[in-house]
Amino acid sequence: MTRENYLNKLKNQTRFIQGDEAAAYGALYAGCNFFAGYPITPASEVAELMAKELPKTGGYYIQMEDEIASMGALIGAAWSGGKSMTATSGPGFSLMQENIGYACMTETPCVIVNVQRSGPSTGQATMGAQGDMLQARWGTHGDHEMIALSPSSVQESFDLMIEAFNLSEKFRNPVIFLLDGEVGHIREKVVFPDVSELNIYPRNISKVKTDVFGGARIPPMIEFGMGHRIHVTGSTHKSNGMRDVVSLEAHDTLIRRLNDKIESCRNEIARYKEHFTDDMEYLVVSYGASARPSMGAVLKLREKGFRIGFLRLITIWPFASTIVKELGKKANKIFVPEMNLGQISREIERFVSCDVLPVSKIGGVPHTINEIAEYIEKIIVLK
Amino acid sequence: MGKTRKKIDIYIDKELCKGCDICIELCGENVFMKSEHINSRGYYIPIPVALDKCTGCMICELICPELAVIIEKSELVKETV
Amino acid sequence: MKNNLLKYLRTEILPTEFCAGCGCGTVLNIFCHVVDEMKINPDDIIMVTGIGCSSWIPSPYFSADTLHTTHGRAIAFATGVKVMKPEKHVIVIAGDGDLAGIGGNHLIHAARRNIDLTVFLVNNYIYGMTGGQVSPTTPSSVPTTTTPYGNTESPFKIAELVAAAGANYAARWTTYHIFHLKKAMKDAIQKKGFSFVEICSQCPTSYGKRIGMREGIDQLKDFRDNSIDIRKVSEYDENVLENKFIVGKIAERTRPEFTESLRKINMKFDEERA
Repeated sequence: MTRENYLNKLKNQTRFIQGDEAAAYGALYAGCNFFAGYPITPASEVAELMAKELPKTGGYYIQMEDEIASMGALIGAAWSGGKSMTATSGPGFSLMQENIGYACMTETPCVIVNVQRSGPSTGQATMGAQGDMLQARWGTHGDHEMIALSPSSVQESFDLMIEAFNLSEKFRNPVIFLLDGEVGHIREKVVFPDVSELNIYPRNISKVKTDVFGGARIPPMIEFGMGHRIHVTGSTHKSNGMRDVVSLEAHDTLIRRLNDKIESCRNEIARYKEHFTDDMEYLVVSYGASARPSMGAVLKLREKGFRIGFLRLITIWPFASTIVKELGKKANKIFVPEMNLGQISREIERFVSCDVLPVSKIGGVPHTINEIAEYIEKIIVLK
Repeated sequence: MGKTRKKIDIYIDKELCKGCDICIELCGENVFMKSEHINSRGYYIPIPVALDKCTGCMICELICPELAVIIEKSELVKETV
Repeated sequence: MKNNLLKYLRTEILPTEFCAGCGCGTVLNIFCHVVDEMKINPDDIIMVTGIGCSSWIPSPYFSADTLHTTHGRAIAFATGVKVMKPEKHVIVIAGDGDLAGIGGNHLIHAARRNIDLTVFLVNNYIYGMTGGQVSPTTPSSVPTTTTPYGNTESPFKIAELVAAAGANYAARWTTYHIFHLKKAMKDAIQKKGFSFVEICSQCPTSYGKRIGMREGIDQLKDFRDNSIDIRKVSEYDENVLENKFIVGKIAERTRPEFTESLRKINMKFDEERA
């Protein structure tokens, strides 16, 4: 009962905390009981808070020797009944990729926080960025689907983390939690909810021996130690888990199902917020930290009389293609402010026929409202 | 006078054996010999040819990489001289 | 008549895919004897393995919960398992390339952490599955496919390294020393804390032929004729020891175990609350 006691104490409290810390508290609410990580700026605050608070809720924190090991420990813990999580930034996220692929292949629920900083390589360690949007999607090798969420505020970092764990359990897939250095380090108000009012998705554990790698689009899981002598491997396997690495059919069946289980629920997973899209002629699409000045710019331009709408992506992957397609038919141009050289704007281009213009800013300082508004205004007026 | 000893039987699982000859080579009493019998995967399997010399030391059973050698020590028998 | 120990194996996939005379099968055989003699219920064992021939010893053959991980990371995965399932025997079997090469960092850190894992490193001195490339335990000057002019590096003394890193138990035996090996494997499973047995093993296909030992038995005879009891090493010259297999128990101690220490922290909060 230690977790309940702990969360009851937090109930209805208001705190002024960082996005990193809010993500950690969200994980505690979601039932995370295992954290393995390695220090890295700007994500260390997640680990520090988990190290301090997890033992109070009956969970376990381990600092591993590197991010590869952290990701491995997460998967081992998940198959042993744990709800597991790690937090890192670009360089560590790169190291985790092989084992993230293992988690996809073995359908292991776990949550990976990536508090993005400027890259590539060591880049600007203390400066935020949104440069890992496509790495989150395609970082590990082979055909796979991925779920990635990106909050824009500290409160949303808390709320969305609960969603991250739920999606990870429901779809038996790793979930990437794409914070950026800005939302990770900014301090804002968070109100802690009553845990009994939250929907926490319980792991679907089969009590009887059954196929846990097939037989259903999302098969139930089995936990180690239940006597089912389950075989878990990152090699291509049959629905009972046994390796089958030479048959075309075994690989085709497995990989298509793994993709299908996410793809077929794209509209259910893909969350977003629409503003002023009813009368729009132009559209701004953004997410994470850059959604904040984007919204400011949209408001400013509307005051000036421009009919401009705003779409904020909350789920990054699977991509919210349905709404983007729909809005793309109404928009003359789509502007995409992001703290990279146009990663999501490229994805938007796949679904619309109008012009898609990245409003890129890199270097570790977020866009200002004016930068975005002036850029958009200039293009619209020059048209 | 009689000598008391265990009755020892040696079984070879013909289908598990890969004919590596480790049991033949390491037996201190030369109990085994390569046979003419070829199993379904094409390996010549060993046979115990000097069962009476077996001391039941268990080396062949324990070292066999295929778990194909089974030493069975059964009831005590009294040998009369 | 069937071997009684086959009850521990996934028999539908036997015989093993190991080459004839490979030491991996011997390790599997002895491991089955160990589990049987210790009367351990396989439901209480969680096997964790990496990539390579010796990772196939438990996976897929040994019938227990099995986590066959990415290359080199078995110990990292096993750490997560053990923290969540401290009451289970979490046993890692993998090779020298996996545990001492790509996974070397996890190995020494798990020993330092002294987490209650049992690790059997099957050292065949080569990357066997990929066809015989030099490994971190290949002796100097041995030609391999990637050291065609002889290995220019020196090998790890891997059991000594693990002992120095803080493991509660470290030993080295060979697939020839089956009775000693069986005893060491039992001791390692029983011992609380990080327990490690290096098992020198023959690989006739990818290593033996490189050193003029074409059959598994040739390397076994080499183990027999060139092993020195660790308690007698002081009687030998260092350059004589270089090419010998030094066998025996290298370390045994009782440092505190990691998952117990973790649980003590949680218990402190439980007590405060009560």
